Amino acid sequence: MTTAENVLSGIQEKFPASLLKAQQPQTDRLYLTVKREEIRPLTDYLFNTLHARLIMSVGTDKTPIDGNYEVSYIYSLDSRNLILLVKELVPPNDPQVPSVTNIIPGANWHEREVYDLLGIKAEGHPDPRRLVVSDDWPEDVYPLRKDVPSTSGLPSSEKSNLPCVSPTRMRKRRPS
Amino acid sequence: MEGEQIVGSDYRGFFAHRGIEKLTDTVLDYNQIPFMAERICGICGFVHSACYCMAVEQAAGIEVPPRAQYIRSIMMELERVHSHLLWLGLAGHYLGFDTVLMQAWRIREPVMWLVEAITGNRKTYGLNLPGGVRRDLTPELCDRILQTIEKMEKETRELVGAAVEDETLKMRLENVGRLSPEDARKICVVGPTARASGVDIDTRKDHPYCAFPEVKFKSALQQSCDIWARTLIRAEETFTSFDLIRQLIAKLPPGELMANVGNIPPWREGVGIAEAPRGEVAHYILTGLDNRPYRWRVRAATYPQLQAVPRMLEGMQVADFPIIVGSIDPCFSCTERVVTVDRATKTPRIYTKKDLLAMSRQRTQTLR
Repeated sequence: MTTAENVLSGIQEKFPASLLKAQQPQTDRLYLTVKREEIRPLTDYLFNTLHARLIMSVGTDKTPIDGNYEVSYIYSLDSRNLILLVKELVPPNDPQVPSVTNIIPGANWHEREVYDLLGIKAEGHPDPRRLVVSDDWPEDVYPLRKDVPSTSGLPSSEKSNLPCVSPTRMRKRRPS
Repeated sequence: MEGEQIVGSDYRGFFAHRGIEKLTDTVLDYNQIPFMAERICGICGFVHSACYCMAVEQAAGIEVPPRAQYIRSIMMELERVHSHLLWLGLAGHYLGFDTVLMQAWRIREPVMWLVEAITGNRKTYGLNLPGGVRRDLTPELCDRILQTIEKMEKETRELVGAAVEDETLKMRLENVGRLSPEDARKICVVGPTARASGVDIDTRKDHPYCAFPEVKFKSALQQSCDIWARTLIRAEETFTSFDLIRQLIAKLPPGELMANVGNIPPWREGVGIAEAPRGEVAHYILTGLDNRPYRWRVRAATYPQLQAVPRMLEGMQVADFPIIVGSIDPCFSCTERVVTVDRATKTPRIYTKKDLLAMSRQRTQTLR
């Protein structure tokens, strides 16, 4: 069994009811979707039993697409060349997730940032202050939500999938 | 603070929040982001743009040609060399060893000329696009790289040799800014800061990317958990980088520079990771409709290190503050000011950058 399969079967065995979806797009990547309520025991297993290292967390607003927010924690199993992404789906009418900071102290800033930018509260966070926005930032504006417009005034770029090449090396243009 | 000793600290930052992630979600497309990514950091910009490209390539299943992988790796190692020499100079400056600053930056300058010859710019190379690189390394450039690093290696050896012999320097750095291995693991620090505390992680060997599966090297590791360990690790990594550049140039394969990239399919996730000079950098991408990204998240190496700084500062003197913060090689322009509160009298006091620098340099004088 590959490392990813090993890790996956370990998680399936210990948390049979938690796993909603699993994908392995490459040999060294494993992407899981889990139930929000089960995130803490799973995090404890990953950090303390598998000795995974937290790389980062990502909050995404997918409400225009499938109606959910997503909070993903990305881990590295350094000695086994595996990157593990653990995603929880968050309903917009209840934007909160259980905090994992008391299991992984390094998650402290990540959870604060997800709150600042997406408004998803980490329940049980030991220090829920603002991090990336200023103290006088309005309470109910979460910049990375899709209903908050970008006010940069820049025009949206035209669709472009042709690579730009150095003018000193002219190449045949690929058909678009 | 109690007298001159720090008992606790808190970091307030993000005053220059640029909104890069929001820009990506709304206006930028895949080809524009590498140039934005490069401007995230003024020193390790290339790693950011390469890491972003790697995330997109993974998400979309694009296979990058081998020559482009090698060129990316060579540029990343050149970036590591210039970054570590820059750090060494700054560390010397904070401590009052201005000769170290002048010499380190003098030794580093040929790398800046070299990358200007390769890419057209001293920084922000503009070399990466999803699918490969935009410019080639001609045989003349390869020769020039080898000549430059040969001279630099000799001069760096002399400088590092002189620096490690200096008793005062060692006294300023040993047992200062300690971060225990348990804290290093719990706070998930990366890079030289982690390796100085005995945490043996290095993205180039743990999750080999670009051309790193094809080369051999040993990652630096120390156990003493203090700034001296971090200094030794950065010095060792500079020499490792010289060796890696030679290996990569020797094995540089011929071929294309750019893969055939069509439309990027939507709703694919990719995670790119790379070892920047400061530590591991990670990029997450979620592709979206209309050939545009839906979400891009960047986690720079300094993010976890800054969370570890309060632990390193506990029990240390204010005069050591600049070098402790400097020892994580932070990717922000030096903290402009520090506010301290004296526990006994409850009075706040602001130390400006000028004050902190003067105190740090004065401390070296008293040790001499």
